[in-house]
Amino acid sequence: MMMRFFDRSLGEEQTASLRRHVGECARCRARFDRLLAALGSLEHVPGAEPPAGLDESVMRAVRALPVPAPELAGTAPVFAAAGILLALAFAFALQGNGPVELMLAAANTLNGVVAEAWKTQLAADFIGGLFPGIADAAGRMFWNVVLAGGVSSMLVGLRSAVAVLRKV
Amino acid sequence: MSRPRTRRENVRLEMTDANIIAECLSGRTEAFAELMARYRRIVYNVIFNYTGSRDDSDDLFQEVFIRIYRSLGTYDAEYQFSTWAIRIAVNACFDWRKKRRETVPIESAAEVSDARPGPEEQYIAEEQTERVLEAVRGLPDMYRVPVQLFHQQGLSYREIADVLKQPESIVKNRLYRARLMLASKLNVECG
Repeated sequence: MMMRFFDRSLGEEQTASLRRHVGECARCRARFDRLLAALGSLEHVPGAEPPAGLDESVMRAVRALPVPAPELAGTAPVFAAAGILLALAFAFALQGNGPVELMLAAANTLNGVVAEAWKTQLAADFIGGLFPGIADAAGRMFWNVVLAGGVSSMLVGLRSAVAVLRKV
Repeated sequence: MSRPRTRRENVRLEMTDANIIAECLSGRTEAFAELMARYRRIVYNVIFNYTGSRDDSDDLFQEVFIRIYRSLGTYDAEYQFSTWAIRIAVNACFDWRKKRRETVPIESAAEVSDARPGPEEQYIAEEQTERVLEAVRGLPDMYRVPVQLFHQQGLSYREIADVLKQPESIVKNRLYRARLMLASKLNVECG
């Protein structure tokens, strides 16, 4: 209960009960008071004020940096959803004309997109691990490759679908 | 003495963190100053509590805010900006300590705080605080950081869990163990 008091997770009733016990038990009171003094002093250490000049030197450095680009990784689910919809659209539009082959073509398309994304993420992580300073740039560059790879995979899938259609 | 705020600055004060980040990402770099103004104190204190040194904290502060700026594009609005910024600060502290371990023994890194001999009671209180701070600095990172974030920065379990990317249950457990270790270091018996 004493630790939960320092977690600030004791209710009023439990706190009162702890205090009652501490008031009656000299051994617990000694423990409680000393721990309260230690953690209390930690909580009352006055915060340090950062020197004012630091902000300006950060801003000088920031002005010299390129504008950070929004992370494409956050949009990956959107691309994945678009890929799935596209693949399903192929399958449904051409239903009855060799559905198995069309589903395979759709699966190939999706597989290509996912594989590109996975390879890219691995490569970006690897480069970022080796050279932390360029991790962000590497990540952006490789995510751009994903876009190109994903589009090319979709084209391959489209070609397969057209080939199946022609056969039919 | 601070100068009165301009209209533009007042508008910025009303902006959310997400708005300011969007401004930065669209190329209005100066908006970053407002973001820094909002979180400079907590970030600096996280760093200072960890390093215990003004000089190192000043260097790390700049490094952390430059890291934050460069990573703005990866900020996930699911987390509070403060949590995300503190995570970057804590990681920078770990990197700092790793580098320092290779060069200077860590014991000599702890600086005595600005304590000046004053009235006797104040002196004793400062001595006591310094003893506690030293004991905290002596804890392994996995225990030390939760203690500093909880007891010195006032973060909740949830926020510490987000900063450390650990489940809340682990944070609670570490904090519990950290207090026991502190108690033992400070010769406090606790049950």
